[in-house]
Amino acid sequence: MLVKKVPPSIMLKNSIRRAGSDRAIGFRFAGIAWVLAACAVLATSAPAVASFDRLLEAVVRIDVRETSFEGGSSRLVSGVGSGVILSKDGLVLTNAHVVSPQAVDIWITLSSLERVRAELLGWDHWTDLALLRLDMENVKERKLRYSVAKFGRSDSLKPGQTVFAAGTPHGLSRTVTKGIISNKERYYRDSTGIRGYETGFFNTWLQTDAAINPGNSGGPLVDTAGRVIGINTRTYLGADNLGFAIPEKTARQVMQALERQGEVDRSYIGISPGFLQDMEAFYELEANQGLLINSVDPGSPAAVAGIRASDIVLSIDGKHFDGRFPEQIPPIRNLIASYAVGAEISMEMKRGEESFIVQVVTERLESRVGKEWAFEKWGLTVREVSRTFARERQLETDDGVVVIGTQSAFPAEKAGLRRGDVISKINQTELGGLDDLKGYYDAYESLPEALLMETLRNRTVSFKVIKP
Amino acid sequence: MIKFFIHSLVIWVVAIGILGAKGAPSLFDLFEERRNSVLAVEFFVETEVDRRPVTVNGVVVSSGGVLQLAANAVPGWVSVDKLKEFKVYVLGESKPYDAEYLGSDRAYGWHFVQVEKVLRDRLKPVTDYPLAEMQTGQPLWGIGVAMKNLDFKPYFMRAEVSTIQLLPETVGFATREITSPGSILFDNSGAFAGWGTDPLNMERYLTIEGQLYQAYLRKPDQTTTFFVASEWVKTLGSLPSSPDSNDMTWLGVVGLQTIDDEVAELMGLGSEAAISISQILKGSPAAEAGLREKDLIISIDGEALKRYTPRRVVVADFEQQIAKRSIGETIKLGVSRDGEIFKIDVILGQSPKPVRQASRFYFEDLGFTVREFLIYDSVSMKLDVEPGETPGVITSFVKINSNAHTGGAQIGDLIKEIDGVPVDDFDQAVSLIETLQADESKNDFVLLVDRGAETSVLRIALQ
Repeated sequence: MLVKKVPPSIMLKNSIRRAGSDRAIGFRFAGIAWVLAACAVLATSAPAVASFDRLLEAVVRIDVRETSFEGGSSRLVSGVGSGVILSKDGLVLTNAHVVSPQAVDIWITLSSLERVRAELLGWDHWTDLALLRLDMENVKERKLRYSVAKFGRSDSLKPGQTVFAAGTPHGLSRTVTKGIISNKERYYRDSTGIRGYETGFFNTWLQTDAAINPGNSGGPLVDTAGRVIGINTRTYLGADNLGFAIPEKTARQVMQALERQGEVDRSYIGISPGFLQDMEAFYELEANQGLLINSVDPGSPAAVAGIRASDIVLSIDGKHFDGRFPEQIPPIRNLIASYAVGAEISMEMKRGEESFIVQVVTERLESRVGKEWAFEKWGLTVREVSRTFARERQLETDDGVVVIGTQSAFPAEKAGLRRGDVISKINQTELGGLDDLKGYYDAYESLPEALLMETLRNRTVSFKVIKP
Repeated sequence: MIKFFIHSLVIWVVAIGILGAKGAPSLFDLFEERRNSVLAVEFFVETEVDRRPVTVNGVVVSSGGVLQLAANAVPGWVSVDKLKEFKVYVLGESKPYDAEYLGSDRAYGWHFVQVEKVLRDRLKPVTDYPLAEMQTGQPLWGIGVAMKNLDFKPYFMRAEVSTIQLLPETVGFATREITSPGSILFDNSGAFAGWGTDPLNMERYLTIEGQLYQAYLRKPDQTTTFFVASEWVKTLGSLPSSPDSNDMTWLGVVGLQTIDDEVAELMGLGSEAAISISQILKGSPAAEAGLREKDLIISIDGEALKRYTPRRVVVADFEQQIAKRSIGETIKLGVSRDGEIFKIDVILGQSPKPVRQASRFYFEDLGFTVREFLIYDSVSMKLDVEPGETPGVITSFVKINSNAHTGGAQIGDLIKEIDGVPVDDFDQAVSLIETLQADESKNDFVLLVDRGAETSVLRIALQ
């Protein structure tokens, strides 16, 4: 079992050491405390109101073991995070990066220090939220008790307002840190933020200076009355007092969808918005209006409809909006995403002097991360090539699988396969996806015979032989 | 009397013989003579905002004062008129002499520099010396060249032949550092043994505060590897017609890979060496001749590709063979496609314009340079460009904190539209921007650029 050790001080050092090569973004999950010794300050100044005590009794510690496909085999990794109970029937809201669909077992420690199993009801990496349910039969059997936290309103928050971040970094005692709302509409998105999954496209974040430490993430951000106004998510590494939380408004909507159907349906049309910031003059726009299109995904509904980069969207189904600044973009993206998949949207566009209307039929939004699998005897772990991944890599099709790990001295590694290689053909036949490869693997297991793989690394074609 | 005279003559002859043997030149004498076959070369690479000095060593290859420099001694992307003030120094002296850049060799990439007349008599071409025969374990000595602050002082180095490899050039490896890159080495009799190449990266492990790091270290001024002289001299003698000539041949294939032995066997090629083609450029000689992506090349002009260890050298050898041919020459390639083996005639073309010949224009007030789009850009940017098509111009330089930088321009951006006008060619792009700069009513303009798989709209301030 692999336990990553990243205590806070070392995290900082690591990020500095890697500064040159890594992405410039210094974000890092405050989340799962992959470590036993996390230093957190025990708050002694929580407001002395009964509702606040009740809130603390709704905060739980979450221990997770999950399958990881990194490194050429499937392994179990473990982590610790926080969560908050939000219904009598045992719904626990936490972060998507604390509990993922690859979790094999989830244990909740209640404030009474009793431990109970939970199951994952739904997962949404786009907003970094996951919904769990306590094993209610067990809860009843053992007559376990807990409090239920209540949502407040993130819309009515004011910058400067006092808030508290609650969590269980040590697991046993509840920890509270105090701060203020620094910014209620912080923009931040990361296309590989949650283990390669995208996050932050459809929501802005609450920014707070309340300390969010490893183990705190998934815990609630609350007002002085102990009402949940956000779910703590991440901290900015290398900066002081810069914590991020998902606003209640988003959390509540996503939670509903996750409870109902385990995921959030979102529509996709394939545009990447830019910020109009100061470019209105060039585009001859009425003040404070419109959305600039920075790029259009090839083959996407928007591309099919004839939309091009540098076009301006003036309105969607008659709704006008202001897309000048970064924090104004997520709500507009969310507007598009909230259409039913397959809906026809009428978009009023501007290109140079000319204005026109296009009809765009939406598709289902997909993550860039495809399904993952381990082929143990080959020492090979792969991920299905998704539409988004294919586009990022400028691949001709979204067929095939991409290597995410090889185990040393196993056939895949000996054949020369490396992380990032796309396997496009097996024995000179096109490889559709993961299921095809599983078929070849089964055949190999019953009769091990040399297998010829054609791979792409950048645009270079190579041939590799997997042999027993 | 006569007899005595004859006797004494014999004695004298023998004595001279013995003395002569004793008087064979010492290593000191050999060193003192041979140090005049190496010179230090200094020049500047001029960029938009600075001048970067480059110092390398060159070996004298002709009595006309021509020096040969390593292929990587001159950066390949720099246009010839940005290579400034070539100077040479006699080792151990501080006085610079003028020199002139002559260009580079098309097959091997060596660069040539000619020194001014007054110095030529003092130089000794390395080709004047006999050639050493190479054996493992054989003692060698070489000339090291010190840094500029020590007047490029030559110093003596010693090692033995460790091994010799075909890569595909015949390359020797010494038991330790034997010379400086671009300098020369000899055997004990003074026969010419080799020309120092770039040093190898040595893999090392560093432990810092308990953390293990893998590091590759190399000395900048000493090397253990060299081109073996007896083979290297065969490659001498082709000077370019002008410093900026482009007589490179062109096949138009990209992403060549040597096929592993096991793959070759599985594909029914037996133990033959083979090369796979990843990409064929549109309109290239390879495309015209009907080569296809993923074809395997197995022979050239009826000769099977040579097998080398490591295998990737097969590709290097193939590329060198193409480079040695001339433009317009027909080569016959043996190809394996879907299990069928056949031959294809390809007429080699002239290489498309290299980066160093591309037109460039630096907008000093805006702080960025645009460069003409080249065929090679379509490869690196993964674009499928038709022959003759210009998808835009390339941003080749962005000055820090300039208007272009603040506006978000990045090196490598493909500029497709300038203030709403599609870019057709380089000259038009330059004049579009110049017109915008001259327009006093304008405060800014907009660029539409491609960057990887993304497109971006950039706003650049004019003031």
